[in-house]
Amino acid sequence: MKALQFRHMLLAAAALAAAPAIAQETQPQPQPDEDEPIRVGEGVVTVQPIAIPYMPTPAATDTPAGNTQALGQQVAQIVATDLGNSGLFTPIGPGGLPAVSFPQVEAPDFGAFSSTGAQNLVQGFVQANGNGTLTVGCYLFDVSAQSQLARQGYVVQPRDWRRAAHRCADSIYSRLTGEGAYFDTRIVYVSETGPARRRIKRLAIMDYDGANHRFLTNGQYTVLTPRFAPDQRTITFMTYQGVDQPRVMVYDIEGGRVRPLVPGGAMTFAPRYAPDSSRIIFSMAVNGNTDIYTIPVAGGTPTRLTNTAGIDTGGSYSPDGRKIVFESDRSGSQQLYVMDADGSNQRRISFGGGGYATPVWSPRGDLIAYTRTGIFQIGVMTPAGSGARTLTSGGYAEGPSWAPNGRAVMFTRGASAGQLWYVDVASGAVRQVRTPLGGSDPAWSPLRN
Amino acid sequence: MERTARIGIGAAVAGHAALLVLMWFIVIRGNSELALPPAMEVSYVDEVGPTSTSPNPMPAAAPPAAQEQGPVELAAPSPEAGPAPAAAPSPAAAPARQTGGQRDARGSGEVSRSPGLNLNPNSFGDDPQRAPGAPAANYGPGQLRSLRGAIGAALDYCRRQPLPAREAVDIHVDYRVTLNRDGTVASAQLIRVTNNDPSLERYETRMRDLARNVLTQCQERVRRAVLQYPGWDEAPANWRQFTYQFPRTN
Repeated sequence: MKALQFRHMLLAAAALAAAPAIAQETQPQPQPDEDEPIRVGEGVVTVQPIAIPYMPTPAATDTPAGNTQALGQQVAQIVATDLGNSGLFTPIGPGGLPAVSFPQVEAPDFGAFSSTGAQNLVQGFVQANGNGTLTVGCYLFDVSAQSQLARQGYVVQPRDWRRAAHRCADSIYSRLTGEGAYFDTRIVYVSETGPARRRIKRLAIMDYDGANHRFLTNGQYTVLTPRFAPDQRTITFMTYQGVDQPRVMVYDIEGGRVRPLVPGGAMTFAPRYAPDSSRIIFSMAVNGNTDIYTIPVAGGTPTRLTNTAGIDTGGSYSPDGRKIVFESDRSGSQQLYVMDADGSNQRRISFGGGGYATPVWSPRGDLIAYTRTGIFQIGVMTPAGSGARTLTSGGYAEGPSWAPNGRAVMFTRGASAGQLWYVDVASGAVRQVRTPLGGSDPAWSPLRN
Repeated sequence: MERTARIGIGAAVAGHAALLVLMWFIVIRGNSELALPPAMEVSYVDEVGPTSTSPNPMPAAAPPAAQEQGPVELAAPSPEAGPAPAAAPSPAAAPARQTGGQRDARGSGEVSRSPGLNLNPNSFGDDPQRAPGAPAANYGPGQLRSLRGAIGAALDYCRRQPLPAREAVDIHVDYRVTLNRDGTVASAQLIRVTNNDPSLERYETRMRDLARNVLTQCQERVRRAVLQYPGWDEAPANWRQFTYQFPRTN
């Protein structure tokens, strides 16, 4: 056995000595790997120039919404504005671009647009149909590849011509960014006017870009924190109607009826819908303690989800309905917590200085938006509490609401005369949404049906 | 310690000492025998793409009658330049890469056309038009790397594609390209989309667009780069095929 060990050691020493010589003899000459790809650049995050000429009509026709020739110009303008508002595109046109004839809609003169620097081209048409509807055609082309990337047609009633334009912009946005659509949406918010001590707050609804604005309440009572139901059939909000303490109400959009969410005189506030629109989560003060409850939208007995000393409020469901994020001052300051939908497994996820309030779970599920109450800015973090970052800067900002694609957040800016703004979470680009009066508490609707 | 163990240790020490001496000898001797090619003089130019990066540039090819920078649709594969089997240089051609004459030619900036190289044109398997015994360029691995470098430099002009989101840079798209003999694109085939993050799937379609646009927008630069490459007109079929990836992995 020992002799065997000795022979092994000698052999190992000999192998060590011979190794370099063997390696020198057998090492292959380097050969080019023909399958090794040529690696090209890394891309850039930048706004994309996109050309959007006026949209022609096959036959100028008068409709209740206007002449189809004029509508073609307005549709192109709306598409350009929507894409520009996203912060991801630099629209070129419609003014100043070569006129597009109806036959050219499907066969663009790419040469005429290549000099604009646009990588993509949007063309379309507006046509009046015999049955009184309008068809809006929408085409997306790649200028350098001279290829068609997308095409959509929308048949709408004349009154919905703006929606067709938004849908066109949505299809372009989704095709070029990979993100979900969000232009064909509405905003419900609190319209504010008058001096601070006698402020009139009315519920108002409008398209995401401020068009088609109308008031839902007349200002006889104060309204706060409106929220869209995911099925877009109702709106819930808080009001001081007829009582001294706040109550959560449910507004039927079609019928215009309003009813209290919880019968009786309990103080209820901070409502928000479950993703399937079946329930509303809200806060209720009972015996001086505020906890989070949930109740079917149709009514019933509230189910308490939290039971701690202090104020638990601002509940918001995760998109799958299995988790809830909320704010609580149980630790001595306003912080964010996550729990299961039945109230179990409560854990704190924010630990920064100051306070965190009004959390809202992203429709995509990856982020939670909130208000930093110490500095009054909008921020986002993951549901685990990591990756916290501030989206806004300067001014007073609060009350975030997610766009249905989870990429943009609308919020209120300004402590007194509020304005509505939204920010692209990825690029940080911000845009203001014009309202006839001051505005606060925006709630972004889902994508319209 | 037992005797056998002591012997073993002694043998190991002696063996290592012998090994060190042997390695020292090999290194010194090897250095003296390795004949490195003479240093190649290089110069830098401001413009990269349109000028060949080959060490022995040929006279520039005549400009094509076609539009210089205009968008050109990726052409369908032509019968002449269809995806030919990637015929690797045959063993008959391989020794030619090692000839001193070619190294000299590379250093002097001239293309070796010596019939003494005795390259068998049929060994490249794709050029029936070339007459047997016709002069041949150097088609070694170094030259292929250089050609790929020239193509890469041409494509890199179009690297600034607008990403749909910052994290989309983690999606990598590979295209396989076949060029015609005249340097134009015969075919471009999507062969792979690499994405390890399911949450980024929504960006994949757009990233395929952008990777394709790299070639579409820079195919004229690629054409000029390869036409200026020495021996391009007689290069093997596999030289006219390459794969590129956008964006590159870091």
